[in-house]
Amino acid sequence: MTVLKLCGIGAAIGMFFYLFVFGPLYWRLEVQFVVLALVWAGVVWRFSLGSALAALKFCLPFVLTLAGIGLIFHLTGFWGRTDWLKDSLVKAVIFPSSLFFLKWVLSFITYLDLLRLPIPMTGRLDLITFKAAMEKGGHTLARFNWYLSTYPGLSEGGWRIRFMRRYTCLILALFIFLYGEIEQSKLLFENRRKLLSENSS
Amino acid sequence: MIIKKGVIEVFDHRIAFSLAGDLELDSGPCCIWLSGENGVGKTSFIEGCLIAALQKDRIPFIYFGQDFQTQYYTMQAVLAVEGNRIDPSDFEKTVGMWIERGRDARILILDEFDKYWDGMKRLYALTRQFVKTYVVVTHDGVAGENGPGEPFKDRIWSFGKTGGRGGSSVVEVRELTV
Repeated sequence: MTVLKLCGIGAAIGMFFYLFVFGPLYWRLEVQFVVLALVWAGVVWRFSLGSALAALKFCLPFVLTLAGIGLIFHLTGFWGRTDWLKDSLVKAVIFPSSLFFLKWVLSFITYLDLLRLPIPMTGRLDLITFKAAMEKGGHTLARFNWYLSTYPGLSEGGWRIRFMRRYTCLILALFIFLYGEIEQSKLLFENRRKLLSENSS
Repeated sequence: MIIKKGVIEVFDHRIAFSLAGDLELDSGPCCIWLSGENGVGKTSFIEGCLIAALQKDRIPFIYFGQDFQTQYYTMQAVLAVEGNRIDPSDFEKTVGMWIERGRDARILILDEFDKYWDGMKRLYALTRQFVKTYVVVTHDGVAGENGPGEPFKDRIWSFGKTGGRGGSSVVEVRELTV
């Protein structure tokens, strides 16, 4: 049952990316907007409006950068292409849409599902550790962002410099956090598993 | 800098603070102790009112938050991006570098930092040359020997829940005579 469920989720992800990211519906901007709206509704229903808005806020700098670069290329006729604006708009819609879809669909995978997978225990522990760290990282991101907004030095200079500096520090802090959390969680799980094995034998 | 008497609502934290009188910061060397039971809203006051007011008036400060373990990751990231070689396992050195980075600060806010730093006297010694006001939340005892000592005068801001209003809780803040 678990394997079927996970295969179903994998197939849904594959189908989404085939249709909307790499396949026949990529250039259909109106379809991409509808998909984004539906996926957004899914995230709001599954999590909360606050969580969905936080995810949107996280995407916004990347989306605006994509759109901005597309506009510059369009105005300068870069490489002789005339479709930069449409291409960038499509990418700017697909990026949050695929991120929200993954967030929504992967949330249906529970820890029990991972425990029931027919793979070696070390593999199951790795997946559980990864899921736990990702979930914790999501909650912690807002807190990182707040702390960074209070530090002097990061709020100096023009808006581009402030933006780059702050987001570089945010991504780096998240990376350090996830690395540390995964290591710690893995050690903890292995220790608990060893203790349970020793007690049961 | 003065936080004016009245009611301040902090929506993120769903809490309102009712200030019985003006709360003055930065008026001279002092150590302000925030006193009140667990969960009354001291951290919400620091983050929602105090830091917001300091940022608005562009008064440089250093803040060590209650969830310092989370904050520590951001400190490491900022120090690394600024070109410093850091060893995440060397907590004291990293905090020392952070303090050195913030030498412009006039205010140092410590929210239960004694949980993470052994020997607050050393921290006061590291910072008393440039810090003019300490704001401290601790469960170790308010004022006296636990503070930075002369010339920092002890002051106490007391927090007490008074009720609720439209989904938010209301907390009264008043300065006590030491």
